[in-house]
Amino acid sequence: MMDQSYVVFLVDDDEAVRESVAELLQAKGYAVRAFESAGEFLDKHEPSVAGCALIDLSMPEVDGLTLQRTLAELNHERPVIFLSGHGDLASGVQAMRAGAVDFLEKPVNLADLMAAIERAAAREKETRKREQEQNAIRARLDRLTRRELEVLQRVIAGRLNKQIAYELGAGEKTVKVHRSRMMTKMGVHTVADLVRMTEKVNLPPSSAAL
Amino acid sequence: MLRDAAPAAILLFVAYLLSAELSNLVGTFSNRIFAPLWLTNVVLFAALMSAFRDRILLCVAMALPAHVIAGIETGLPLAQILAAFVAGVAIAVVSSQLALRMLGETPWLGTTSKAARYIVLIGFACPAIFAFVGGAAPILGGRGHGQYLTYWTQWFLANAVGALTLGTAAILVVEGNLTRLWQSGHARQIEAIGLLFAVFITTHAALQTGKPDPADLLRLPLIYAPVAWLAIRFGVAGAGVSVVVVTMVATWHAMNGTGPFIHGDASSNTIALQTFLIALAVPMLLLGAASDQAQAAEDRLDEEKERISLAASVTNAGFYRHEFSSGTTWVSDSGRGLLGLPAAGDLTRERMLAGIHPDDCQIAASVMFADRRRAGESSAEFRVLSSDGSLRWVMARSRTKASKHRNAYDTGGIVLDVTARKSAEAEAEQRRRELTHLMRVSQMGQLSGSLAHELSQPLTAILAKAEVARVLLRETPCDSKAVTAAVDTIIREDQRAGEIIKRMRSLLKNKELTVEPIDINDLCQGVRMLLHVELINKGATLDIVPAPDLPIIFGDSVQLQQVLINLVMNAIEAAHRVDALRRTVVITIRRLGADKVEIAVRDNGPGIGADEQAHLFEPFFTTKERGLGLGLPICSTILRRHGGTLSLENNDGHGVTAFLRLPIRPNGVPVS
Repeated sequence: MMDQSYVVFLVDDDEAVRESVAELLQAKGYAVRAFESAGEFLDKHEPSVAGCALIDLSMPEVDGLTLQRTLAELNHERPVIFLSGHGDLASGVQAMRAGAVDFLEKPVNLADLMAAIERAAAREKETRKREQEQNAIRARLDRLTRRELEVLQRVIAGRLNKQIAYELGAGEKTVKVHRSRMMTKMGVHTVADLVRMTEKVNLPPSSAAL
Repeated sequence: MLRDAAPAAILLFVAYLLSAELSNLVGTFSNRIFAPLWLTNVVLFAALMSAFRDRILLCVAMALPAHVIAGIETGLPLAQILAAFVAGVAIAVVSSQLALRMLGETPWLGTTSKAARYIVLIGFACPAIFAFVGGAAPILGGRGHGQYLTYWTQWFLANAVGALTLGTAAILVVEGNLTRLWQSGHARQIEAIGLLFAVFITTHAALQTGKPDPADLLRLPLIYAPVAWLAIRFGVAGAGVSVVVVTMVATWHAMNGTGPFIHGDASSNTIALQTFLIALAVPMLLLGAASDQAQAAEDRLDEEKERISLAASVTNAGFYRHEFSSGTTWVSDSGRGLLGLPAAGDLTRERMLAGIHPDDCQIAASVMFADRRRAGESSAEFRVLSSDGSLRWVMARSRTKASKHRNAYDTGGIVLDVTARKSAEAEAEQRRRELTHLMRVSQMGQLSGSLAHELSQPLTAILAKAEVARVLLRETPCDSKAVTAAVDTIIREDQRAGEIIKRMRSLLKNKELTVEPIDINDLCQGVRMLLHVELINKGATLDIVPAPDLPIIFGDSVQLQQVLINLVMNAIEAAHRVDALRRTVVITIRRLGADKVEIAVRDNGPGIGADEQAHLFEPFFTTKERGLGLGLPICSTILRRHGGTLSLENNDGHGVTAFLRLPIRPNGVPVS
């Protein structure tokens, strides 16, 4: 069972569906915020709150797929689960391609619904963990000097000290000092660890042609 | 031209000369009598009626020398001869033209009115008028003025007898009547010859005396008997020919000094004979004409009967007649068969209606025994149960009119077996119903996705609430209030699902046209509910503008709903085709006057093209990629069967409006 802080954002235009699904999810221990239209949901959306969106595919005015696209355009990272009245393959493919967690048919089985929400929660947890990691790496990268960053970019590209010295127009000894300081700041001991770490973030491109 | 006419001209010349000589002969042969009729004028008359119709001048030119030759032999002054000729030509020309005008191109005496006109105008009026000229001829010849009245009388009678005896015969020959009679079989020939012989014998016998005896006159009426017989049996031809025979025999007797016309001087004898001949000819000709007329009427009746009986046998029709005054009913044999009546026996109203299906008795009676105080026509179709148990459809059409002889009304008419038509109609109706149903099913097919979605909503709610209830029931203590609330929702949502299914099923059902009270506003809302998801999927909205105070109308709600769904779906599709910002369909309901409701379905699509307009209601005409082209024709048929109309018009701006107009019927008068 999830902790109460995990929120399901339920968007469905049918009142009976909205009310009963909300009650079920609450009974299963989720916090539920229900909205009757995409517009209402977007108006009141708080991206920072952890939770997934359970969205009805066909709604008047703004439909589910459009809502998903809008969320992506707004950079509101939120796992989306779709509910659909009838299995429309094209819509399902489109939804999954756009990153939906699941595409469930109404009437939805409780177990499937729970599983989808769990998966969404797990994915979100993952995302958030990765984000934290990336933030830590970025913080370390920020501490590097410009010269140290240049050395780092060449190290992970597999250059030898001699080559780096030549490229940067510096002495091999100087390069070694920069390299050792950089490794310390990044908190790694081996080049392999450094490569793995830097792969998790998008490094600013190297200033020199490699 | 002239060469063609030469034989006729020569013939005329000879005939004229011979007839003039014959007349002279009668006058010279005996001192007791003159010629009772002037043959020359009759010859001219006959010539002008036949070969010389358009050649009056040629006729006169041929007659003149013959007349002069015959006249000179008598030693009369030339002036008298020429004056007599002028008078003779004048009466012949006028009489012949008058006869042709009056009796027709093929002169026919066979009706009493024609015969009477001939007798009055040509038999009497013309001779009387031209006798003023003819009577003057002897005076020109040097006789005294004092005798003018006698001359007038002689001239008048001679021409009157000519016209009424040989003149009539001439007309009969020209018309071809005698030829026809002669060709009508041996029995008729023998009868005619026998009767003519009887006329001859009777006349001869009646005139067979020599001494003056008043009793002789009493024998004259004997002559009438065979002549009348001929007139009755052979019409005007019989009368005409026998009068000629009598004329000849009587003249012969007078010349030979027998009979009653020999006791005075020549002039008075002739006048007596002529008077007798006129007195015989006039009634006999009229009698003959009346006989011909009766025969013609009978022939026409036979012909008519034949025609009717042919029509009746071809159409298998029966006839009936009902007299209200006497209460009697007559039905033809085939009519008895059709109405399931016994082949013989008296018919009463009750017995007439016994074979008719009990439900149709009233309508059948109202036609066959229509209101006895009113003339008019009526018709009805009803079922007849035959004795073998089969059911037949019969149509009766009757006409009631005032009876000719009594102050009452009679009804007569015709009954027809229309079972074949009825079953064809029923079959067509069945086909139409199937087609309508098929379209509805296909419509449902198009909507099935949407309807499945529609159904999934309450099912989702039900499933979720059931799960809630399960969770709640596991808890201790159990919150029974919360469980009840969940179950209430389950029930409510289940009913909602049931409604959706019911609505679908009613549209899928293949039932006969039923008449039920319908609230048009509700009907439109029902359509909205069915199309709810379809509208969402197509990104369209449906606005309904209801009409306040709309009376209930009567019709088949499923079929009318089908029409509305069809029109709204067309409208959605049309709106879809133009990528309109807002795809809106508007249904406006309003009352049109006192007796109509209008439902207007308006879209904002591309509208109807000019070339499409004419074909909109044609079966299999479609502009859709996968359309059957049967939607609008079927909608139109449904509307027609409700006594309504369907029309489509382009809007002033964008799109099309479909107008459904339905009659408001008081108290649910059934749709036709």
